[in-house]
Amino acid sequence: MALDDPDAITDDALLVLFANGDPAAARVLTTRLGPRVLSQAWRMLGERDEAQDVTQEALLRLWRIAPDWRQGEAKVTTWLYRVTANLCTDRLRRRRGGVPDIEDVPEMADPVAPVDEQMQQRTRMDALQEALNQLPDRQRQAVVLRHIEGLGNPEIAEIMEISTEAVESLTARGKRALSDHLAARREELGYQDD
Amino acid sequence: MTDDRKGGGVSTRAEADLDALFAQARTEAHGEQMALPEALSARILADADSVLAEQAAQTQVRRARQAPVRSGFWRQLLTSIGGTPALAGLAVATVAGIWVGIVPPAGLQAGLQTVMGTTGTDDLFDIYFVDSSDVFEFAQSEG
Repeated sequence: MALDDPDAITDDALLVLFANGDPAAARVLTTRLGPRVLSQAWRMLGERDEAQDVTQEALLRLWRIAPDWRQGEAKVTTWLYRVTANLCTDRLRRRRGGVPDIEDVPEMADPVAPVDEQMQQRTRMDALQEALNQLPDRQRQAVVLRHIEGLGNPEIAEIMEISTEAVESLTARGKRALSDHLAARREELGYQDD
Repeated sequence: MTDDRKGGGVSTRAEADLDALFAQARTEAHGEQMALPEALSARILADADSVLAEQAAQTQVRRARQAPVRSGFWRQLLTSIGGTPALAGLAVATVAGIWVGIVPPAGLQAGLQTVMGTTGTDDLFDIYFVDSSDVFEFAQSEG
């Protein structure tokens, strides 16, 4: 089947096409979902290479489950976020006690911004990542999904297999902890007191 | 949890800073900057191709296992007469019949002479195979 307008095809339908042997569907799904998985893994792990490995592994699991995928039962993105979260949690557990390498903090500066502004943005993003790295796994996961991936609490609850109230609690505590971490660096990060 | 901030929430200023950071992170996460590196895309698509090849091979094996047994005329005939054991019995009976026809046992000949009232081999073959004599003559010979 030709994918003339891939944007018009749902993730579910693309997965079914893939299960029926269409490699073009894999390309569309990779372009559409890969960046989200990479972003989530990057924020969860704070390490580029590991985040890429997790992205590859999460998508490999998606390819494998394609023949058994039941359309309409779950959102592909929800399933993928859950798999990514679990893969990240496994890796974090394995390296428990280790200190994240500051060199590996994501470098995501706006290329059109002036150099000093770029540097400040990068410093702030690095600071956010460092603060995220200090959070307990579950809090970090909830905060990333809520405030960076922009998901709603019910979907996060489904991904993390907890109640919506528990998600609210985790994100609130996470935000508070992040704020505490960042408060000490306000001046360094270029924030002015009112 | 002890917290000197009202309601346990972050202060408005810190919250605003954090929200601004989240907004920036969100923009980057969903923008072009988070596009997959080419090498990673290639790895992911290579995995997809491998999985497709694996699944195609598995499907082929499954189909081969599930392929229905062809049911032609001879197979149906064999089934209707009772399968292979019946075929063996039929073959034995056929060979025995041919053998008896070619070399009739002495006892069978004597019995036939008694029953049919004839002594000549030719007559016997006439009875066995094709009746070349006139039906009326045969009736007369029988009395």
